[in-house]
Amino acid sequence: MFINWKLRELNLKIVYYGPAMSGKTTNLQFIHDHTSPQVRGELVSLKTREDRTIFFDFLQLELGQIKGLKPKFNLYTVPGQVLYAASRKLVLQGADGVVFVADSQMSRLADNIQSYRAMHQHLTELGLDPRRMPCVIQFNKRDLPVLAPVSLLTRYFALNGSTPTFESIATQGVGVFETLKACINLVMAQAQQQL
Amino acid sequence: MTLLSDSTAAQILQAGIAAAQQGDRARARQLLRQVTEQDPTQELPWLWLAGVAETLQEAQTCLEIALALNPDNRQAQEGLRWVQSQLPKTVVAEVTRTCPLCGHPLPADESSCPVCGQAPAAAVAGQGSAAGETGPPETAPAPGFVLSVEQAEAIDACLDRMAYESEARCIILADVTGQLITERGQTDRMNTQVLSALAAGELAATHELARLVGEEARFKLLLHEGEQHSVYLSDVGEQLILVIVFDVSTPIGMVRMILKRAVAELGPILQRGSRRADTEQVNETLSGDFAQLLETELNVSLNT
Amino acid sequence: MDKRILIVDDEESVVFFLGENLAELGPGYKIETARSGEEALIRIAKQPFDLVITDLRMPGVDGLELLQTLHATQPDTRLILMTAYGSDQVEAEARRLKVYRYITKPFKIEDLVDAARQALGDIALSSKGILILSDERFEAITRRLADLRAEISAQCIILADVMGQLITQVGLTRGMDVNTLISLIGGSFTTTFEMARCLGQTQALNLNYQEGDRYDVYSSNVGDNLFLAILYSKDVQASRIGTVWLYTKRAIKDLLEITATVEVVPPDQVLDNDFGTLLSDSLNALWGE
Repeated sequence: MFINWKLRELNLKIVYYGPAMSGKTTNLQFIHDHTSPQVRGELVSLKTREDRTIFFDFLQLELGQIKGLKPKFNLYTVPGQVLYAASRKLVLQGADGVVFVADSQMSRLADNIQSYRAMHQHLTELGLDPRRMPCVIQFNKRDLPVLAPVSLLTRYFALNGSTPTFESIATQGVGVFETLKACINLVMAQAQQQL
Repeated sequence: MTLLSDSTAAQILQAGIAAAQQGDRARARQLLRQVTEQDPTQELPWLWLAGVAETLQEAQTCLEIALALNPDNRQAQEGLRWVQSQLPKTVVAEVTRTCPLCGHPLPADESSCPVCGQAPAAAVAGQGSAAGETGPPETAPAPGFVLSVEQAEAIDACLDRMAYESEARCIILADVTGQLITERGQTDRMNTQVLSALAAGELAATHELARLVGEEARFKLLLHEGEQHSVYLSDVGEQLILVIVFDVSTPIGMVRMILKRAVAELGPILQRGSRRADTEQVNETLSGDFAQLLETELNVSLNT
Repeated sequence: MDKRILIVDDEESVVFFLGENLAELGPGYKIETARSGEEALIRIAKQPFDLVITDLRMPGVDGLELLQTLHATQPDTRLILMTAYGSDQVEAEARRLKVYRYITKPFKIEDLVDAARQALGDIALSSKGILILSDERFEAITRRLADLRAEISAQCIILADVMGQLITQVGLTRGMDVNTLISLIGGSFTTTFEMARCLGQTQALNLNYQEGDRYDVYSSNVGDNLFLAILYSKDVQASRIGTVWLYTKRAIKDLLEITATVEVVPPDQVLDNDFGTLLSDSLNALWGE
């Protein structure tokens, strides 16, 4: 988090994390497409020719003044493929909040767990306490067949009720904004405590 | 999903194991699946399910789940190691057939990608959200990047020459997505795999930067100057990236020259195109009784 | 703890007007008034103030005398002097007293409010990753960057933190999306660090150079958290890596000094419950319930 008194800006970084192809970039694309251009910047996507994120996607949102401060949210996604583990960690640096995008399909169960574990590991390595990192979990792709039921997913992520979860269909925008709003609110609550 | 009592679940698990041991795979699968749905946090049902899986993919998934639940589970580790060892190393680059949409490895007998559902061969219209993040493709997707044996040899020769003539500490060649292809020089202390992935990410950022500032072509040269070493990155054509590490004392003019030559030599090599024969060879290895062999192996390890 | 401001002026209407406008600074600021220099001194003796804003011409103890007393007895108090009757002598004396701002009437009230805010800007460099920069630091940094830009004739120079937040910039960015620029260069930077580690070294100073046909981009880290990005437009001025690096290293050294000395004083009540609620409302308005 970065407060620039001169420019009266409050900067927050939110990172979308999750296994490959779970819908992280789709989330940002939807947010980009359905937010007024006055409030958002361009969506930057660093990706391969096959549309796989190679480094990160980046989208900035800038709200109007609230009590004299302009909140600016920098949204990032991490690359999902196994190959890019080091880059994932770099993108996580300085995160104020995380949205974990899980792929609800049964066949991706293991990938979700591994990814979630890796995220905790990276956070720890970066000197951030994973238990205190504001986190929201999104169970994406609820429209596909052969899904893991939400109860199952919840159990896997060992959630004790305090991590907000959302079901979503990112391609259709279902649950996308709810997830982001929840994450932002969590981050603010945390920041208020710290300050 | 009906809730079973713990004792009932235990009974079903035993029944499932018994069915597996007797060779009644279908019944074993049915029973074991019930158990995993009821309590997916137990490794044992997943391990057994891997043993009676219908496909290679299912077995792998089950093993991965077991491992994810308990990273110390030896049987899961061994099972997965065996699965992975069966995928052959290919010429120089990653030549396993990959799903063009999501990049997941794709054995020949699979008609669609187990991860994103994309059917690799022809264009698939109207598959809806099963096509994954990027939406349904419009044209037949290109196959993954493949290097023929000839190309690999030519590249090797070129890099050998470069290593000999230049004073580079090391040279790394990777594909544009960050897969390490080959390396030369003093690389034993380095994690060159990770370096390749990072270099690819950085080049992607650079390209975007160039576009943003209005540089029409890409940046010609990317240099990181440190206290002891300098690292140079460059694209080679559309497919490859080159990372060269020099001592910081090497004059930039010399580096420019070496890079230019490297790009000039490697470029035409890449243009030559790959041979279908290599891809076919890979496919052959993965087909046929592969799945059966795996199953046997798993049964053996899981029964101990 | 509230910031205490004292307004001193013998005219009731002025005191009232200033008081009303300074209230705009928000909660966390306590404003008191005095109608004369004597009254001011009495109030100050009771409890010190963080900022005293005083008129120059007042019967009895005038502004200058007040400030001299404050300077001697309470050097931590920030001072702002207002006057319509400025002279070289007065200005010189104000400088000697280290007056924060010397404001000549007539002035725009917003300028005074700004001056007050800046005078009380706190310096804090986080614990817990919250970076807050005071106006003074900010200006010192911007000045140094402007000097560097002049020395090396760059098109623009940007200072940002490695997470991708802009701190300040000088020069022309000509319609470029600076935020994206920063996220890209910042990303490159963190990658560079990591690559250096893969190569088995951790380097204190990293210079990155991207050479194009029309533009060159230099970037370098400033300590662990910040980096500098320098953009050259080759149509206007060619760059020489040796020269750029030489001057940049010096600037980095200065910047490190500016950002290094820090008292950790967290600002209170910056983000109170109100803020969170208002933010939530904003988001709902934007994206629906």
